[in-house]
Order: sequence, then structure tokens, then C-alpha cells
Amino acid sequence: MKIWSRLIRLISDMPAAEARRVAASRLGVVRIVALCCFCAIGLRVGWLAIDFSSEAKAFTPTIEQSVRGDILDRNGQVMATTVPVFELYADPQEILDPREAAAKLATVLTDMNEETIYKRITRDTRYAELAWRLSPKKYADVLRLGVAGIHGRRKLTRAYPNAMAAAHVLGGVNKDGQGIAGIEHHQNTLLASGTDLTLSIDLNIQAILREEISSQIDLFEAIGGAGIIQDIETGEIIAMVSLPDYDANHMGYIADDHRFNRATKGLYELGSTFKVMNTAMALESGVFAETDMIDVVSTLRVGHHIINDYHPEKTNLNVAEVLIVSSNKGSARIADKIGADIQKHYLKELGFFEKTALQLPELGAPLIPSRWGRAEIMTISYGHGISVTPVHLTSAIATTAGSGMLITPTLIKQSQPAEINVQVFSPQTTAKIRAMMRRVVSHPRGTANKADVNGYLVAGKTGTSEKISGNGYDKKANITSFVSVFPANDPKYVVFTMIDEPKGQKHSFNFATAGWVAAPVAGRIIQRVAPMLGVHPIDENMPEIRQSLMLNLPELEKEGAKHASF
Amino acid sequence: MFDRTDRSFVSIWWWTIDRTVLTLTLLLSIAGLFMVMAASPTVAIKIGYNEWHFVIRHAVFMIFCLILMLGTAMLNEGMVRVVGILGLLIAIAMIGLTLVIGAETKGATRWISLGAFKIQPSEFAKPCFAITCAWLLSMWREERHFPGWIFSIGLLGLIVLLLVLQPDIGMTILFVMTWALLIFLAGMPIGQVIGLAGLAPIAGYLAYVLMPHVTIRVNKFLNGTNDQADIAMESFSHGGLLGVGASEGVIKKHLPDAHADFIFAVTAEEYGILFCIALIICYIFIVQRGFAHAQTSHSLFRTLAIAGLTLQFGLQAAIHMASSVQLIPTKGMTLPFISYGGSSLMTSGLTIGLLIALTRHRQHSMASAKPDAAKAYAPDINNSSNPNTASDPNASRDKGEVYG
Repeated sequence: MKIWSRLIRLISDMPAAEARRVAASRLGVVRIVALCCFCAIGLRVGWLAIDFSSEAKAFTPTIEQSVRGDILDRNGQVMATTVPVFELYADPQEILDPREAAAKLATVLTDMNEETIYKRITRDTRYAELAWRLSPKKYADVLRLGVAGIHGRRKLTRAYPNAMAAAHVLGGVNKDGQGIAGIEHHQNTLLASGTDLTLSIDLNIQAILREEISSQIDLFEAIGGAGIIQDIETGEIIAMVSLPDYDANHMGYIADDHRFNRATKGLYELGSTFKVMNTAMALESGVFAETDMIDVVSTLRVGHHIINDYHPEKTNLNVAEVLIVSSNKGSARIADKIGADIQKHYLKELGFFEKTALQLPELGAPLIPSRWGRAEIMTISYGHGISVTPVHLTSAIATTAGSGMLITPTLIKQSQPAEINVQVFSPQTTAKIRAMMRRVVSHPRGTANKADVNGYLVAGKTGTSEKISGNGYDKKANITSFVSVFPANDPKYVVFTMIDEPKGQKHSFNFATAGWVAAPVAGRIIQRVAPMLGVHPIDENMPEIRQSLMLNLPELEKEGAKHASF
Repeated sequence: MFDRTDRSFVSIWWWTIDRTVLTLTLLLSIAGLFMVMAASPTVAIKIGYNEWHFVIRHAVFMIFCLILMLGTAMLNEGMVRVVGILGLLIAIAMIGLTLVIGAETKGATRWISLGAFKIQPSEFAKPCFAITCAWLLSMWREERHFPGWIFSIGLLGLIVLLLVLQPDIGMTILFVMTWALLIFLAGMPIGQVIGLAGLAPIAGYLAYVLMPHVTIRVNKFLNGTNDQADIAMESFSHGGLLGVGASEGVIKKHLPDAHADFIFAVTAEEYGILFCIALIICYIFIVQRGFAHAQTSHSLFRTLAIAGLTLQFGLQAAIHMASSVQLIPTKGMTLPFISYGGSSLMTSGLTIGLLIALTRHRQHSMASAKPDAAKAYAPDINNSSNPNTASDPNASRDKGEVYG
């Protein structure tokens, strides 16, 4: 109780009357302080009026919101920028003759007919929108018409000069200029702060990639496609296209199928291209050497399922040949012996178990089996039962057929190679893999002969897989893909092409497999972009080149030589 | 208006209130209507309403505000106390409720939706807090055993906690300042006052470090890169002495909430500097008169309550105007009786209404006609911590004039 009353008296103790007198005198101080505060505000107001009145009277909004940063390609070309436009609207109450006004406006606003304009400017409102981004020139044309009641409001809008070239990379912004897709969304904070962003994309390469994939889609009456060109050392995406695409200037009106980024969000069973990783892990883990023979003749049964080859083999093949002729049976037998632990370890290291680190919001999360049994081990070896995005594959190939260091994809231009050094495969293994992938293209028994380009030593792997539909696979709907690196002796770039649901054509003898669809287009792309990327053609028969691509397999070499002469 | 010999309730009321404050308040309200008329159509069109949307709503709120003001202005001291204490309890409960079911606007949950209206309970809590605090502190001085200052600090802590959770820094500052003024006036020794004042920079620094939006505002102020305030400041030069004319201004198009948090700047552009100075003088008069009443009042409760209400009114106006001219970092606060906003307007009405009620000079005829104020709150004394106080001869000391 004593403590309580002491606490009550902690802040002095005085009778109410005395407290009131203290309050009255202290209020005198408060009144002076209050008066000073208000006077300071008054003086400041007066001072502002005098201080600024010497300057120009007209108000100029010098400080608009900081202008959104530009997006540049790796050579500094503008991919996205902010430009002034005019929002055009009418105040129907001010329009004298709506008929005449509509007729006049229709001559300039060509995307609306006279009737539409008439309806809009006769609505019962004070604000009828006519156009929300008119170029300054068009706006001047409208003003020249001399129609009363038409008003414009200047504002800033996002413009993509290369409308279609890299739509999925850029994404787009909404009416308020906020990024809603692509890198515009992912890097919104940075761009909104007014900072420019330099991408790893090369617009010229991008245009070629888009053009070639697009013409191949038309040629094979396919429903879509994707292409990626990636720097094998830095992981930079030099070009990336997903078709069908859209004009980034008109993001708002695009169908979902066009907005969908097949290259980064689409999940596909990429088929035989996975055999590259399967072979690499077989060699790296030491379970197999490239000369080891694999049984590809006898029937391979897992549970109720029989694994077949597209071209059934009559004799057994060695590990290298299994990759070159693309034997499912051989790959499955190799994987079976490697086992789930090693397979999972490498697939995880290569990034197949999670989304890629690409700077886009549109990223697909891989579909991996929940139960990793013997059947899964085997089917995954040839790219079935695991669905990943194309970017997953190109980055994994950059590791497996490059230096063996882990490569992560990026869309931002890198000034120096990444710091993280994770050695997944040894240089010896990757050299062997390249030699084998080179044979896929150059060896007559390889599946990608149509991708060969003289002097650029293309090394690749095809993949054809049936699309999943309902509970099974659709025999008629294929995903054809081809992943390659070039030049094989000193790889610089990864090139990936994918054509979605191609139909067999007369000129392809009704084939719609990767070797006929995805491989040739990759060849044409490499032929066009290699000179621009500073890769010089070389003579494959030079001794040191032959040496670097040597496989210790005399029979294969002999057969190759025989066919090559023919 | 009324004959001085008229003995009706309204007539007595009219001759005992501070008619200067009432007149100035009405003048402010009319000016506010014109100012909202100038500032709000742009905002209304921008967010897709009819251009007179805010003006009409403001006029309706204004009518309710004046009714509320005149209504509270007729209360006697006992009723004021009841309104203050009950109002505070209800408002605190509602602030707590905002945290659960509040409507989020611009990153803070300060509002409760009631159909077409949203109310901000922390606004209503403000004048009630001044009344309650004044009562607690005067009881503490009168009763000696009543731990008024401890209760008041607990009350403040509870409210500040709720407000920081919303978060609402501007409102927190108003509550803390109100409490600080009252405890200072209630006779806190100068040494303790200085110690308490020393805590302010620490609290400010903590807010700066821990609350990202405070960091941004303060940095913008310090670096002189405050876009909003720069635009607001240009309005003072653009407007000149007499302004560019009603609704002729362009700066409002570049300011967010031009009809609420930046109405002073819009006014400067359209009606000119002289008009702004006139407004400032209006506020100075109301504030000075309020504090003068507090000085001459005959009871500690009245002194404290009047001073608290006046401080809230004046501080809010000062912060609004000082933000506009970049004397302080931008702090969204409404200008009493001027800015658009139902809750803010009602609170201004309530504040001035209570102020007028407490500043009525005594009328012998009325004092004899009414039950004595001492009896009116005798039950409160009985409920205090010490039951013996009721029989304590000091209990009658609650009337300041016994000593003063």
C-alpha cells in the first residue's frame, strides 16, 4: 500500500487548486509556442509566394513520376521504352454537331468507324473515351480537325519498338505502367525506379530464331514451337522465343495460348534428349565406360510394360552407340544399373527438381514422379515420366556438354562469369559426351544428320515424344525437339528448337519426328547466327580437331568413314 | 438574436457560450465547402465518380457535423464527462475491431465499413481521450490517492499499441502529444518534463528505423526529393496573392488526395496566399481563445480538458499546413472543418462542440437550476480506489473556485 501511494506521488504531489494555477501559468508558455508555430507556417507561405514568383509563373510539372527505365538488349538496342502519348476523350455536352464531329473524327481515328464514334460521343456523360494512346502526330491531326468538345490528356506509355521480337521475355505493362508479365513484372521495382536494364538478349539473333522457328511451324502445320540460344559459359539467354506470340504493345488483348511461354513455363516430356544426361551420369559415376556393351536385342519388360525402340536393333550396342542411334532399351538398361540414387543425385544437381532461376514470373515447376521405382528409373533415362521446361534442358545441356560446371540460366547481361563453381561432370566426361553428340549429327546412323552445318561442328540430340492426353499418350501428337551445342570441339552456345504437334508432310515423307522437324531448323539457325556470334567455321579434318572429338571405338569410326565417303 | 432577459434554455445557452469560436468555426466550414468544391472534382473524375460526388457528400457531412457540434455544445460538464468516457470505451473497442474486420486502404486498416460509409474510430477516440485523460488527472490531483496518472498512461499505452498495429503514425503522434500536454499542465516537475521530452527523439528514431514508410517519407524530406510536397509548394507561387480562380488550378491533378491531405495547397493555388493567411489567422484565434479559456477556467478538469481539445484541433491544422509547405515531412492529416472526410469532419465538430460546452461562463441562474456538479460525479469518487474518500472533507474540493 505504501509503495502504491508513493507511486501515485511519483510525479509530485499538489492539491488541485495549486495544480490549476501551475497549469494556467504553463499554458502561457503553450500559447506562445502555438502562436510561434502558426506564425512560422504563415511566414513560410508568404516566403514561398515571394521566392517563387520571380520564376516563371506557369506551372510545369517538372517532377513527374520518375520515368520507367528502358530495357535494352545486350548491344544497347532499345527493347522497351517510355514515350509520350495522348489520351483522347470527348465531352458530349460541348459537341455542337455530333454527326459532323463523328464524320471528321473517323478520318483520323481509323481504327473506329463513324457509327462507333457517333455512339460514343452522344452518350450521356461528360467523359467519353475515344483513344487511350494516340501518337503526338495523330493527336495534332485530331486538333487540326477543329471539332469542339474533343480533349486530350498527355501521358506516358510503354512502347516496344520490336513489337513481336521478344514479347515473352519482355512481358508487358498494364494501363498504369506497372509490369504484369515477363521481365517487366519480375524487375518492376528496378524499372519503376527509373533504372535501365540491359538484357542478355541479342535482338538480331532473336529475330533470326523467331523467323526460323516460325517458318518451320508453318511448314509442318504445327500448333506452336519454342527456341532458345544460350551462352554455354555464362548461362545467358541470347535469344528465346515461344510461338505463337503476341505484340507486347497490346498485351491486354491477347489470347491465353499466345501469352503462354512454352520456353519457360511449358512442361514437356522432352524424350530422347534426356539420354545425354543418362549417358553422362553413366560415365561420370564410373558404372559404365563408353565401350561397355549393352543388350538391346532381348525383350525388356518392366512390370506389364515393354520398352521398345523406334528402330529395333539386331545386334548389341556399346554405350556410345546407344546414345548415337538413340536406343530406349539401351538407355533403360544403363539407368537400371545406375540406380535411382545416382540418377536422382545428378538430375537434382542439374536443376531438374525445381523451377529455374530465370528472371521471369512465368516459370514452370517440373513434374517428377512421386514414387521412384524401377519403371520410373528406366523411362526417365529416355525422357519420359518427367516433365520439364525447355530452359531446364538447355541449362542442363550447357553443363553436360560444356565445361561440366553447373550453369544457371539468366536473362540479364553478365559482365563476368558466375562465381558459383559446382563441378557436376568432369571435363573428360563432357568431352566424350560432345564427341557422341557430334556423331548423332555427323554419323550416318545418327538421328540428326539434317542439323549438320559445314564447319560449325554441330553436336546434338533429338527428342520425339508423344503428348500426354487423358490417361495415355496421343500417337498422333508429337513434341519434337532438338538440343545442340556448337562448335563441338570448343562449345560456345547451346541451341534448342522445339516444334509442337507437327504433321507429316510430303517433303518429309510423312515423317514428323525430331530428325525431320526440329533438327533441320536448328541447322539453319546455326548457319545464320554463328557468324554473328563470332564463331568461325573450321575444318573438321584438321588433326587436332579430330583428336578432340575422338571416341575410342574403331568399329564406329570405320563404319562412319565408310558411309561418309558415300 | 435572443433577448438577454429571455430565460429559455437556448437563450441562456446562447449568452453563455463563446460566440467568437462558434462564428469562426462556421466561417471555416463555409470556406471548407468552397475548397472541397475546388479540389475534389478532379479526384472524383480520376477515380470514376460524378464530379460533384465529394462535394455533395461533404455538404451532407457538414450538416451532420454542425448538428453534432451544436448538440454537444449544449451539454453540461457532467454530461461532457460521460460522453467522453463512454465514447472512448466504444471507440477503443472499435479500433480493436478494425484490426479484425477493418477495411484496408493504402496499406493501413483504419476503417470500419458501415454500408455506404466508412468510419475511422480512432478519429472519434481523440476528443474522448482528451476528456477522459483530463478527468483522470484532475481526480488524481483532487483525491491524492487516486492513481490517475498511472491510469492515463495505461490508457495511452493501449491506444498507441492499437494504432501502431494499424499502422497510423499521425494519429499516434496526436494522442501522445495530447497526453504529454495534459501531464505537463497537471504539474509534472520540470526535470521530469525534460526527461520525457528526451524520449521523443528516441521514439522518432525507432519509428524511422522500424517502419519502412516512415523511413521513405523522412528520407524524401531530408533529401529534398519529395515529389508530392514539391508540387504542393509550387501551388503557393502559382496561386500568387489572390489565386488563379476557383477550379482553375492545375496542381491538384498532380497530387494524391487533393481534397483531403493536400487541400491547403490546392486552396493556395486557387484562392491565393491572402486567403491562406486568413485561414491561418482563423486557426490562431480559435487556438488562442481555447487556451485562454483553459487558463481562466475555475476547475482543473476544465483547464485540462479544454487545453487538450484545443491542442488536438490546433496541432492537426498545424501539421496539415506545415506538411504542405514542407516544414515537416509529409504526413497525411486532414485540415479541421476544411478537408473532405466524414470521420474527420464529425470529429472536428465534436471537438469544438465539447470545447464550447466546457467554456461556457457560469450563470448563477443555471447553476442553481442544475444539480451541483460536485454531486454529479460523487458516485465516481465512491468507486475510486479508496472508499473512505467519500467522507473525506477534501472531497468537496473538486470545485476549483473553493480555493481559486
